[in-house]
Amino acid sequence: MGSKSGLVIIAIAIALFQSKSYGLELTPEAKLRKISYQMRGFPPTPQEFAALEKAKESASSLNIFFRGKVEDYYKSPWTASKLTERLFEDWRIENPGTPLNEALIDQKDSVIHLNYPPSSANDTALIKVMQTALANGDSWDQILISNSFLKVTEISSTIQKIRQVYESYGQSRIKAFKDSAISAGKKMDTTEEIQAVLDAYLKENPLDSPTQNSIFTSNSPTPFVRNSHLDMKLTILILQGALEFGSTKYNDLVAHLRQVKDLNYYSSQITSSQFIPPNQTAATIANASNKELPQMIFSLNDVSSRYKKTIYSKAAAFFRIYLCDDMQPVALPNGGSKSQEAFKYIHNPQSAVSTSSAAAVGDAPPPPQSATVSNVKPQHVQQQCLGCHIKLDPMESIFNKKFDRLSFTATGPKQSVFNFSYDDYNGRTITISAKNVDELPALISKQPQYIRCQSEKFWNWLIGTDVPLSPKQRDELEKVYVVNESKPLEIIKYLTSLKLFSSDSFLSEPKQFNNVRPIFQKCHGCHKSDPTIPSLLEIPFNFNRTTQAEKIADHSEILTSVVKLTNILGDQKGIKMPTKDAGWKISDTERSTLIKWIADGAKDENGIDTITTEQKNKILAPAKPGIMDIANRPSLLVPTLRPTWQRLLTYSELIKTLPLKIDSSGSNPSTCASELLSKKYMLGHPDLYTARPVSELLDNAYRESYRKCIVRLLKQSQTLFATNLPPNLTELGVLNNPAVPLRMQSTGLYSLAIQIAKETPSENLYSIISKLKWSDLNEGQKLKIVQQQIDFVVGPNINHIETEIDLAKNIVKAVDRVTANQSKNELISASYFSLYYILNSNSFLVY
Amino acid sequence: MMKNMDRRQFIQAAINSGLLFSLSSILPKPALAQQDPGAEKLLLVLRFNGAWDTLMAMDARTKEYLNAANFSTSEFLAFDDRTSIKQYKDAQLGISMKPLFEYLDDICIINGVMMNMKSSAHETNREYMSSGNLLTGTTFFPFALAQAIQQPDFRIGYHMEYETLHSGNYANIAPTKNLNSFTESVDDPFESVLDDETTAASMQKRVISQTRKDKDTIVILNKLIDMTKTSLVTNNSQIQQASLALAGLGSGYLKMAQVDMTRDSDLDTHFDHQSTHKTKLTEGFDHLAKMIKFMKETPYRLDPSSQKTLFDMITVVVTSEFARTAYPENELGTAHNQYTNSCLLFGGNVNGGTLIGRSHIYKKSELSLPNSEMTNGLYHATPFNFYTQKPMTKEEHSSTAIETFGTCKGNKCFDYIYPETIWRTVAQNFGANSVSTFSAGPVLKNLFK
Repeated sequence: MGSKSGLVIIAIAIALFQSKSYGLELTPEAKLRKISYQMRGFPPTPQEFAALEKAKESASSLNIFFRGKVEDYYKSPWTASKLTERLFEDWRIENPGTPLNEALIDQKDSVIHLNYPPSSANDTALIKVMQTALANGDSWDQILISNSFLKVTEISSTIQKIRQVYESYGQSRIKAFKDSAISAGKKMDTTEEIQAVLDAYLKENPLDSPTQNSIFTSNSPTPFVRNSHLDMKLTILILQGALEFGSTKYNDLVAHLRQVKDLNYYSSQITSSQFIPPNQTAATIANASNKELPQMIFSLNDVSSRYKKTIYSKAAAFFRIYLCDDMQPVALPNGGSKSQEAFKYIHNPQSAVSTSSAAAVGDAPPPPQSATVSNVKPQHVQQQCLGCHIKLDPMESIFNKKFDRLSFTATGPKQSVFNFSYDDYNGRTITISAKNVDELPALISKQPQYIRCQSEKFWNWLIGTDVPLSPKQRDELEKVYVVNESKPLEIIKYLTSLKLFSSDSFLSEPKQFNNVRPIFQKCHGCHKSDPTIPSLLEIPFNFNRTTQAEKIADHSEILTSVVKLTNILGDQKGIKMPTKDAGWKISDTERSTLIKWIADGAKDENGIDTITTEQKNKILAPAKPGIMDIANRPSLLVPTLRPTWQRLLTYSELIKTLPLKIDSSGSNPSTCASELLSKKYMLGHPDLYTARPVSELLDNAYRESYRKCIVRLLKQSQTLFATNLPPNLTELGVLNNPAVPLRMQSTGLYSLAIQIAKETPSENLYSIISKLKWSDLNEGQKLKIVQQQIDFVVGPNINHIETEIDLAKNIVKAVDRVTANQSKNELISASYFSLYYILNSNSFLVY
Repeated sequence: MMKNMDRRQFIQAAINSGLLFSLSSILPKPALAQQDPGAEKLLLVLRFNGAWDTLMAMDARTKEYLNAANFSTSEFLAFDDRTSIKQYKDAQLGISMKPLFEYLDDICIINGVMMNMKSSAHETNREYMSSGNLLTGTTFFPFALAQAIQQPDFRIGYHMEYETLHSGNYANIAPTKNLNSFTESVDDPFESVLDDETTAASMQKRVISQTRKDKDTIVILNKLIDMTKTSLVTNNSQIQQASLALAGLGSGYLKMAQVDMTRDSDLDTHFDHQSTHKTKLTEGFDHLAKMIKFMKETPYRLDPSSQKTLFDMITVVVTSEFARTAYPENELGTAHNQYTNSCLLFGGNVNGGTLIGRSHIYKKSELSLPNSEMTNGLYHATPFNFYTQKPMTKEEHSSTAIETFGTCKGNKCFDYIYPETIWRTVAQNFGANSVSTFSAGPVLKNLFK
């Protein structure tokens, strides 16, 4: 009987789980928390929750509130830091985590929030770059393509260089030049006026001959800093005093230098001790320019040094980062297995009979022949290799500076054509021709695949990798990306306003092609260069048919053989695809997703069935018992350390959040930052080679580090509780001392303290509180304390599943149990027990 | 009626029926430590990075053999160090093996291991040889094995940070000096708060109890570290990591570990084979000999009543990415040879005194190869008959159709010994039938007792 009712419950639970009405809908508070964590990496302040409460009056005011919050958060340096963190992962480079280490709690105005480290000198170049880029309102494309971020540092070093030669060699002579012009009655204020003076000067002192110029040789007045005549705009700015400290023209100078393509080359020319005539020789430029191939993000040292393992590393990373092409290395044998290929290569059986002398050497198989050896060697002529090398090789020439950028003729630079290929979304190879290699970055940013790739990154970051993008949704997202000129703020605003951001309804929907596409993408990696195998990236699967009827006829047949070859319906034996050597296997999750997709009618990206029920039954007929149960299981919503719909706090978020929630300020403030940073590899930080988190879920190692950290913070906070409270604490003291609210709120004793202070204004608050026992309180008071803590630590109105089984009530019960031991019955320590419980709950750890 | 169940009732029902997947995934897995047979076995993977010269160690050739192959000593060997100094079963042992001569009955030597033909890159083959995973880059066998034997919580030493898996960042090897502080208090004054059945509680409780258990272990660990400092003396910080791993495993603190004994630059002797290779390789093997001695003398967890020594408990697998070429690359060095490799195993259940597999060096005259292709054209793994568990004979070779090669049918089962063959066998010994990093296939039946 018992088991029967259990089964009924299971059946009902499954049915309910699959039903749309039980999709998790975030409360506005949970949504605010999610936005705050997603963008800045730490929770909203109590004041923000209070503001939200007011905004809840109407739907429109709520929308305005959230849009406003996104805009506010976007200005925070933490947002840049968080975005950089994502880039570190995407680019698979080491995240040093320096600013996290120095995060300071600001308790001014009794709003507790985290201040970006004032001494951000330790920030990595990438973080600085992102902060500047976001502050400038740069677009995503500008960040990825134009290297504008690198300019920030380059511009300041260029100015420094020019200033150096200006002060050493130019200042007095330029001043003399200006003085003489002014004394001759000329005006030297506006650009036009200066230009006129310069024109007159150059008429008398032409710069086309090294013998006639006096730039380096004499002490006579000159308007030029070394070779600044090469850039008359710079000369004018210098004459306007742009190099002087505090000059109003400084910003113009920065803006002007921003336009310069290659600042290193530029400053080397301007400050060169050799005179360079304005009509410089072609050779001079050609030599320098050859090195200026567009390196994009690889011009950053961090990135460049990460991708130097092979000559193709940068090129492969380029395709992954810019075009979301994984470039997984594949090496398939031509025919037969890996063993047969090796066997043929080394022990060519054809020669077995002819080598009679083999016995003299030993009981060994016959030797290889030269012809066989040379056939195997040239890797790139093999069909399978071409699939990647057709893309890699041209890019490799750019990143390794093997490409001749410009060739010069008597009439000037000649265009040099650069062709490059990439795979589009459907796996087709697209070849693009750039007239000049300098056009490459701009051309890439216009490729549909680039837009698709970059917009999808934002989707994954904000919405989650586990939420499939439907074609309609994708179109809309790409439109948002393009229309807003890839401004991250606008993309974030759009994504956070989507229902999918605050609702998990997608989980109950049937599987569509976009759910299984990533699996077929891996098949495509090896099979793309084989014309006899249909592309599995377009649905219906077909052998290059033209009519829809033919395509559909092919589809069910191809699908049947996919199921057979992968043996997803059978056991682990008899799997033909992927081959033993392919380097990947279909995982259990992928397997059940594939089965579920077929069971749902193999829906295409628009959710339309591509097979009939009859076909479906036929395809799924060989399924072993139990297999279909896996497929029919409800979808999972598991909080992970990856960017998924529901996430666990990562190490960086913990580092920032804990000091806001546990008061541990004292003479030696501790934040756990250094410990957690040193453990980041097991706290969900991705492996730099596979880009997958070392652990996707909370595991023991994570828990252990986390536990040690909070235990230490809590102990410290508890010890400091007494000493940190001001003596003779009164109500006024409670309210006004900035450190007190944090301490009192995290322990949940704030209201109680106020009440006591009101009742007994003359007594020392601490001495009263410290004498109170947990068991002195009634149920209502206990619940109030715990609820106050939850409100403070997690925020009000939490809606994770655990809330549903009454976090507060459970905590009260647990604390009751612990405090039954008289030695643990003190109110203050009881409040720390409660805090410990909250910090361990999913309500806190999941957002 | 059920449709009217509200969200809270539903969740409660789901919890009662054990169906709350979002929670179950973070619920603790049952502690299996005692029941699981694999839990009593410990694994240590030692890697000689840079590619070892097997001709100088476990797969040497005699001068006579080489003369018979019509190679002049200078042409073939380039260095006198590369001839054998000891006959051992069907193989010859070279000079770097000398420290281990005393322990040959404890060691299983595998020769003739075929590597990744398509790549002569160090890292690709290094990962392949130490994990059995051919193509997907960095993998970590102990981690995969722990998953396969359903012990994902095993503490695994990696670059000897006594925690779980470290990143695959090979440039970032933890300095040895940081590893001796295992004194951190495990006291948790808040522990009893979580003494209930909620999800928040149970996992945390388990972690705490594990840590408490570790307290004694850490005492033993620190003792063992001190012992290794005197018994396994070395100034080489790479090699010190192996001692630390041994202490970690011997105390029970770690269940598995992987250590790089040498750096690429130590053994990758393209230009300084003569001056460097022997020294570095012998130094490593010398340490292996010391480790064997120490392991045999030391009871597990330093428990004098223990019936088992570290040698009984710990299976040690010694690997390198591939062999080096027999033919010199230039007059001073040797190149990569991914067509053969060797492997040493000892301790645990390893069948000591065993030699498995064979390689072959062709006569120069047998090869119609230009000199430029000589470097890797000479020295290859011999295929293996998995039915007889012996290297393939000439007769077998001439009667084997290429299509049947690499498949097992009836009493015919010819293939190369690949890294995955070794790891598959090791995994089976640890009680894992299937490991995610490689597929099913033949095993080496004589590798373990």
